[in-house]
Amino acid sequence: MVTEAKVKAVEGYEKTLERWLGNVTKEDVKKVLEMVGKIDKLPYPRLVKLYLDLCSYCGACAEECHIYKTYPKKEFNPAYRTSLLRSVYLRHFTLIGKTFRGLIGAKELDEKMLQEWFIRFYQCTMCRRCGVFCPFGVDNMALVRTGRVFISAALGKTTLDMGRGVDSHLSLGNASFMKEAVFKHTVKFWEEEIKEKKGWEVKVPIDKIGAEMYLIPPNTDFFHSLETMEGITAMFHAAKADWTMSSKIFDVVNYGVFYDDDVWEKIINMHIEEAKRLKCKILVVGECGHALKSLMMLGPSLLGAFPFKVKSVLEVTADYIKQGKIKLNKEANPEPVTYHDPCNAARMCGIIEEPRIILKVVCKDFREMVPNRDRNYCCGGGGGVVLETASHDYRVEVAGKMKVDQIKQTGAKIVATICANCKVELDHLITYHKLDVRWAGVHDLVLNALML
Amino acid sequence: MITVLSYLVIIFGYIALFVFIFGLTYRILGWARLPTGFYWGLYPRPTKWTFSSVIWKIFALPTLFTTDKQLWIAAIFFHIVLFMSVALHFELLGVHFGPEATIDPIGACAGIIALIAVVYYIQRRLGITRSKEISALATHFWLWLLLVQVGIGTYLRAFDVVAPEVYSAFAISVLTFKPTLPPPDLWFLFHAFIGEMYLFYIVFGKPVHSIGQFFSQYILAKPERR
Ligand code: HEM
Ligand code: SF4
Ligand code: SF4
Repeated sequence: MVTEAKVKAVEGYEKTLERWLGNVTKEDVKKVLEMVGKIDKLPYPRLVKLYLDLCSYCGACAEECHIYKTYPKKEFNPAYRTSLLRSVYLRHFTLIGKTFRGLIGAKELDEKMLQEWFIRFYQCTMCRRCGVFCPFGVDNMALVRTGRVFISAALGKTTLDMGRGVDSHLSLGNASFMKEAVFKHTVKFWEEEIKEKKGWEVKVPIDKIGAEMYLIPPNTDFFHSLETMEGITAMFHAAKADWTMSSKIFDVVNYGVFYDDDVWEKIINMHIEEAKRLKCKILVVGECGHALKSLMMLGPSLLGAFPFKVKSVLEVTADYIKQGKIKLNKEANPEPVTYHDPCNAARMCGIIEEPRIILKVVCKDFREMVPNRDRNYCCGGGGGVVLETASHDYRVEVAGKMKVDQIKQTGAKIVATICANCKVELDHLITYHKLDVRWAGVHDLVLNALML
Repeated sequence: MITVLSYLVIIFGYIALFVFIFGLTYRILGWARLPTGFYWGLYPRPTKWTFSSVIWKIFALPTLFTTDKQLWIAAIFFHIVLFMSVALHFELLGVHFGPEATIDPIGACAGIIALIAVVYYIQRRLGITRSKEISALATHFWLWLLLVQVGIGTYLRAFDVVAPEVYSAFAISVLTFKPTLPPPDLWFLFHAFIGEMYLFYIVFGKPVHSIGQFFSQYILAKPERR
């Protein structure tokens, strides 16, 4: 049901998005159009062209989008969202569009349309669930991202906090304005926490050249989910792993994934260069979804093979379990636990069974939510939407509503996940909807269950 | 009227065939020449490249089955009979699949099923908000025209209006660039003319999905490289 709260939440965020884009001039429109004309020059032009050409407006995708299902208005229809790009492409760059115009749905790009682009493209959580179900394999998310890329490349505009995060990343090497000293201090703090909780003397190796694994977590874990860091550290300790972190590049997030190819490339190059400097064999991505996509999928396909492997920390832990390298005690996590599949980890990178292998041995009562795995619903914070403080009401009322219902249905007391952005969103959902549930990283639960 | 239509069918026929052949080639090359770039697969997916997984996705539409069973049924039936009708149209080139007495009823039945499917498509676009709110005028237009086209075709089959030898002689005369006048039946001429319009539509409209899908599904089902 579309309640008044939902209407207000949506209107509020739409106004904010409009403000962020600011005044749009004819000159701006021209610049963006120039970008649209250069579709062939994108790093991934074939799929964009196909998705522009193939949609039949059957509406199947709308049935599968958590946002449209919660709030069925035209503007939230995935195919409407992408028709904004399609119609402009038709109108300005194809003969039939120039000839038949509105009759075939071709539309001019003007100031109003550009505003609509910004709002609609930044409302999508880029979860790709609709892409799973389109009968023609049209992946609306690719077009949403492309739309964001056009706006960013032409006008340098994106949403507020995402832009700030990127400014920080390009100047300091992490998205949270964190200095090296603060990082080192944080490491000390979680080492002490492990000592307190487990009684183990553990040192996090920093800048160790030639270590087998170089761990880069999302920086957000340092202040929002420190237990995840404790869990990973303790797990490496228990498995006697040869690993290191870096004092310079300790943030794996890469917001360029969400909206800008140049930004993406600059940031991923930081990760690659540091991994080379440390001469690691495996770059291990902490509990983070979009970073996995960046380093596992996008990186190698655009920049060529890396001289090291990329793994998710979930794969590492699941391997340790299979090899019997770590001992775990289920009794340490007696409460019912469910698992939220982050879209980027599951649909994009296939990290689907690993967290389940782990959860089944670290918790007494593991329950699936429905649907799950590659068909799971987005938490409501994907695509960088959760980075914005201003999107809170939109996320908790609309984008994350289906997740709330899913969690409730399991009856679980803990919802575990492996993505820093999902954790923030889950936190907001739980608080706002007063759920009797806690969120946790998978490695938070590993920490509890670990034995030496 | 018949004379005007006859000449129109011949002249427009040449244009339509030209656009169909070169337009379609142009569109296919348009996709094929571009790099895929990003590794853009969706899980779950095969560990090695299997043609069958893509074929399954294209011809059985498993995800549409999950999402919208009605549309799935309509689409499956519509395309099966569409395929049959297209095959039967090879009679135009003198390819016969059997005696007229068996072929005509089969063709007419296919036509009736197609009619039902198209009526469903139309009512769906008008009745289901999530499809209606995003459909352009042209989409409706082509669907209604399809209804007319299939209707006439079914009538021509069912009542054996023009003998196969006659229309095949006409078609071959056009294709060998020695065009003769088409059979002077108004319904036949309409059917031929609308059919020629559809050749444009296949290239520039929705039915280009029949080819584009092989590219798009391949991108999604590309085997993992990890
Ligand atoms: C390769 C195999 C094909 C598959 C899997 C396929 C799939 C589909 C599906 C799922 C729909 C329903 C979506 C909708 O309502 O728009 C559809 C509609 C349609 N298809 Fe196909 N198709 C194929 C080939 C073709 C061919 C060869 C043609 C004609 C040349 C064609 C013509 C149409 C038309 C006219 C519609 C109705 C579009 C509308 O609703 O406006 N299809 N197809
Ligand atoms: S399911 Fe695919 S073809 Fe249908 S409206 Fe959505 S994107 Fe378009
Ligand atoms: S990518 Fe996700 S949020 Fe965006 S339109 Fe598709 S299902 Fe909806």
